[in-house]
Amino acid sequence: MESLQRPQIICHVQQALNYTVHDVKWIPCSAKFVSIGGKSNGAGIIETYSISGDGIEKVAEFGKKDHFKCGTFHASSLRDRHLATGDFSGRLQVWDLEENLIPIYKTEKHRGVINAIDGVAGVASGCGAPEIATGSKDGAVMVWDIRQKDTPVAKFCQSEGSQGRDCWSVAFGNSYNNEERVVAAGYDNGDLKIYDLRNMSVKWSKCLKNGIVSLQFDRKDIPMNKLVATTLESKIFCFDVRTHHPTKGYAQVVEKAHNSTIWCAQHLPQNREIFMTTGGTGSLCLWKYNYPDRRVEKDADGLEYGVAGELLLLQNSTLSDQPITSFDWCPEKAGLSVCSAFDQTIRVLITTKLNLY
Amino acid sequence: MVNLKVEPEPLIDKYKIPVQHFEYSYIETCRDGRELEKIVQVLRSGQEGHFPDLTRFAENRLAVVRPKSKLLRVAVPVISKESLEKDERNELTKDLTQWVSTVSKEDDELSYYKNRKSGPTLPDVRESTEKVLENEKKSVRRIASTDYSSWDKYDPDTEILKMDLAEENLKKNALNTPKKHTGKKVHFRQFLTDVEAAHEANYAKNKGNEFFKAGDYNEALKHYTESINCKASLAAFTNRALANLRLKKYKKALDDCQAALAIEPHNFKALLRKAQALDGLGHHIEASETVEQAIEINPNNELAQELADKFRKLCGSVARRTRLVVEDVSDNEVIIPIPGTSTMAPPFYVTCDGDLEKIGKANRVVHMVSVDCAEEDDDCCTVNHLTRICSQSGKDNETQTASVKESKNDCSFSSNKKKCAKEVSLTHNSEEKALNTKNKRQIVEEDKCAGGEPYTKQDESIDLPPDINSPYSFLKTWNSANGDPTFQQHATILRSIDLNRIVDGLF
Repeated sequence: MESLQRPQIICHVQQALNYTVHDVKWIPCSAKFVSIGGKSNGAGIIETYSISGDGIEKVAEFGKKDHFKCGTFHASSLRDRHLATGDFSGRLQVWDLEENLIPIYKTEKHRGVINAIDGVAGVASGCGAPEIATGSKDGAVMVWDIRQKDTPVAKFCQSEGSQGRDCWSVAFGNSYNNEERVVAAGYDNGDLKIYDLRNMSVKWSKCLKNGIVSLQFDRKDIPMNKLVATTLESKIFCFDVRTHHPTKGYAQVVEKAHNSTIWCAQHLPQNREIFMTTGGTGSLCLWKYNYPDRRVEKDADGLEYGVAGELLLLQNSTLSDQPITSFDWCPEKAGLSVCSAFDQTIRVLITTKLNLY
Repeated sequence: MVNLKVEPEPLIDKYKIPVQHFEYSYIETCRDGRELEKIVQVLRSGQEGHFPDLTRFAENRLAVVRPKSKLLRVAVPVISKESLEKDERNELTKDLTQWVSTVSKEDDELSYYKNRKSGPTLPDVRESTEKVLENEKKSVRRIASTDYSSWDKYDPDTEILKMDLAEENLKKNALNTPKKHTGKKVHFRQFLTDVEAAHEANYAKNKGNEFFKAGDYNEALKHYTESINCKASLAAFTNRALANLRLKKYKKALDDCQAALAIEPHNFKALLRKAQALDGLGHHIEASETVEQAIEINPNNELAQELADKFRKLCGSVARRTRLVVEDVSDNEVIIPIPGTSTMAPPFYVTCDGDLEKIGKANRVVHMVSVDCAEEDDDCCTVNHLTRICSQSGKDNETQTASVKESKNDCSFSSNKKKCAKEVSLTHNSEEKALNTKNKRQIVEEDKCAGGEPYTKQDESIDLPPDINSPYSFLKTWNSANGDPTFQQHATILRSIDLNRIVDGLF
């Protein structure tokens, strides 16, 4: 009986493609998504698919010179819905999907492939200016405002001459008013750093020992609540970043799953305690974070420290035999999602009974 | 029944589990989840040979002892749409098609407004800055063990003092960090399209729900308010009402419920929360009415039923506070007949000159069912005083009787009010009067404890002339009632007449 109450992951439709998909993203407020990738000849490609009750249908595509690595709609308003992409040659471009001959915005400041991109404040107002963060192989994390040409509004990098560590993941957070904002960055050596954009400092850093493949705050536009980091060697770290203790730091809970690299962690837009992780063995894990009875305790000196909760595995499913490299929840329809795997297939998934949690 | 040969193998050695433990009888009784996990791991590894049945047995036992064990996680293949039941599949498709059609409409509307600027609401571009991260090299040089001259200069006490100071500073800084400034900010929101406003409202509501679930009601309240500011919706109002309830802001919760009910007058949640808010404000009677309305809409809701029960009890206790409790008494207590029940003599009246408060405090058993403070013109108390009455009531012992005990917490007898304690239930007329004039005096219509036949109006169908207080018509009516063996008509007549006249002997 209990198993009937658990969320089920149903594969609605799958579509084989003739190129490598690096990222998939829903277009906000529509029944369409984009797949971002590159062909074997090195050209980048972006395709738009629309879904219906029965299947999916390609509605548009365009190609450019280099493989697209990652993309986001989060820095664009609902009216515009511009896609910001990072590509293999280190270019950040912002595209209008309907007039895609030339990008709306373009920079070439990164010297290596842009591994990760994240946007903030596109839709929600009252939480600062729309910005885009990029993390690159050259070790730099840059924050962009598309109203400012050529130079990033913030840049975190190693000093000249020394090669920084490869940045694999970036995530915005803590953007609950017009001033506050942080960007978290994960590096290939396992370093996790949270940069405070308000006073341009390193707010917190920790080494997780394995390269951080994916990072996400549970919500961007609330005071920092939780941060999920997934790493190589099948580890999921979930930090309670609400309370910081000067010596203990943030409380954390660690889980092992997938038996491989965990490629991606994505929080459900309708419920921040639920997130999906995707693994290198083609498996999907649906997690729920349960808060402890008391989130904050005081130590002997009267300093507050956080108490970690626990992660509950809601569902564990295998979808493919290749790594699932990207996953995106539909922002409007709870339970609808799309994912891409290295078997050159995109799949639309429906997760049921999420409203019960 | 030992299933394993003793062979030194890595896993079993590593976990240090004696081989005797790999046995049905041991596993069956084992309560140590950790050990069971290890046993399962050893058995699964196949290093000791394959024992499928024992492995399954151990797994089952582990599921009992530690149901959340990671070893029990099984990856199931993703269900394909084709393998679903037909109606389930149809439902999914229908749901999805429906959503696609609604979202496409919104999509079209948004596309229409594409590239229009929303006005100067965006904050300024951040000042460009660059942060160069230094590799934190350990600047403290270690003193080599052979460097004796340096060791001579090394003073452990000062070093310890230094470390203590550093730690102290850290703590001080942590304590002194200025709390987040809570300056009030006004956000002006302009939405070009309805879709955007609805989207933002929904998003804010969802965020509120999340905070609510996490127990952060203040933050939830903030987001619900934000949602309402973007676009007022029923759900946001009812949710904010609930958050206000949790924060014990009953007045605000009530306002929210009213707003929600203005959108949808028969919303179950809104009614239920309104009842809770009224309860919090102390308006139990209105709350009880509201919850009854809610139950009409959804009779199966447990919370509503619970609440209704609570109100019933509460109203009972409210009544109890203002009234007297009727209780069965045993033989050693004073037993008095209760009028209004069959085969009983008319009641006895005893004038009591002491005020009621004293009687209440005395906690004696008195024969009194209702204390009515409604009639302002009654300036004396009429009580069936037990001490005097008991001798007379002795003859009625065999009849079914009950007495009334004045409740101890009868604090609502305010001395400034003129009170009149009347014998047993009032006529319906005066009941209504009493209710109208003083709401808190309620008559419990069914006094189960009183025993005897329930009091009903039909039993005493006697027409009272309007001038009942005149001696002639009283006598006439009295005589006409003689045929009634239950004396109920007599009781009615007596109830209807002005008590003052009896007391003063004017009758």
